[in-house]
Amino acid sequence: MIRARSLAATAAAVALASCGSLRNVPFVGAAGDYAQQKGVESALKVGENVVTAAATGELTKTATFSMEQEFWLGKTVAANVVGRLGGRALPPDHPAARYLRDVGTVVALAAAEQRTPQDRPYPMKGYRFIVVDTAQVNAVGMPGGFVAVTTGMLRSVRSEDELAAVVAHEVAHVQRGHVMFPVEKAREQEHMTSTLLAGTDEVVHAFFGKVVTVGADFVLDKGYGKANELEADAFAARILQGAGFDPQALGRVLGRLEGKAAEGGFFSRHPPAADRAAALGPRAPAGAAAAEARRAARFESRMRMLGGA
Amino acid sequence: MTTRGIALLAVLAAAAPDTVTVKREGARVMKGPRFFGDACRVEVRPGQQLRLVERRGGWARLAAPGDGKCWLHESAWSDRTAGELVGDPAAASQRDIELAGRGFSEAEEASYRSRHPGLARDFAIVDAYLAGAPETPSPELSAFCAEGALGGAR
Repeated sequence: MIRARSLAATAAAVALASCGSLRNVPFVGAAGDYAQQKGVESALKVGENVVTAAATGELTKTATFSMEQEFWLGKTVAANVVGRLGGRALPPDHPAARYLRDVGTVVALAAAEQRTPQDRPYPMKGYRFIVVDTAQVNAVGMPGGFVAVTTGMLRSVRSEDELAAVVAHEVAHVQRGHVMFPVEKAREQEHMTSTLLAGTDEVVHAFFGKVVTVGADFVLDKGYGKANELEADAFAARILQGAGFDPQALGRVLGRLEGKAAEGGFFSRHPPAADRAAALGPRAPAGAAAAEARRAARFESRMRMLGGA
Repeated sequence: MTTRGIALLAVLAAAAPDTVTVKREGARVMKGPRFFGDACRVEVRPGQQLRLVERRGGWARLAAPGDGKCWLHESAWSDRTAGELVGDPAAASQRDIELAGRGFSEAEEASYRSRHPGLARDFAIVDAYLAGAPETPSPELSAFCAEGALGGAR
């Protein structure tokens, strides 16, 4: 049995190394190069994996990730997102950055208190709220609890409750696991080849790089689809209510800034405001106006520290 | 079984010792089963094993630290097993589980950074926020909530 398996493995390795059509498939061409570079021993290992995977039916599996794995992926996605947004950020101790951190922490904890078993666990190192210095109006939730909010967004929202609403929407994407959907999809698509080529570091590097690119594409440009956006809206409304913010604040900011969709960013990824009104939850309770006014006042004072137009 | 017997079992189940391992950094230990309120002056660290003496919703009261008076939320210890599989876990092989988590590690990030030197400034920004901007600590957060009538401080 072992001998037969080794023969099959050798055949598979040779096929991988020599099949011209397979060389056009992502990663498989690299496997041929790898086999040539590393010699028969490594090729046998690749081939053995082919046989084992085929024999056990592993090629159809998808995988989920621990929070530590999500953190390391999310950190690299975050660096890419910061770079694509211009590569400038306020220092973490800037008053506006500290204010976003305070608001974000309230939102994140209110979300955690409403956690369901289907949600992703809490980020391994907690959330990080990064203020990216760009005029683009954008906010991005990423794997691992990284949330980027642009200075353009900070200047566009008109109150603490509106800022909390934008953050709550992104935290909802993180906690509900939407930010990991494209990663899971990439893993699903690449699982066959990554299984085939187990043992080759170059393939692991290539796969990681691809997932980072896919992840950054989704969080910045493609979004998570209408159903997930509406789910994030609905959850954001509950987060806001649980924290004590006005649940209608998200509807206000989305409605007012909908025209920004043409400029790309946050609003271009989301369904029209008219489609999401039903998801935006109850109105603030009576008597909440005074509290919201106090928050609006401290919002004004912090945003003055931002400077600029 | 009598109603009293069922109630006794329920009480015993609720009081049954249970041990968990802390998985994340910065977990908040609170004086009650809520994030918004007073924090206990104790810390728990990743890897620390804790004995639970009571569960309530997503919260658990700790035997220690805190002399049985402090609460920890399940988000402090919940996690997915590395390489956990969607679908039919019974059909998963050890190889599949090992492969599932490959390529998502500190070492892989280091490799990625070395191959993308143009992202050095962007990684530095993320590193600065990781080091210098953890979530707001509980005492500061309580003051922030009180000022803004948030988190039940209404």
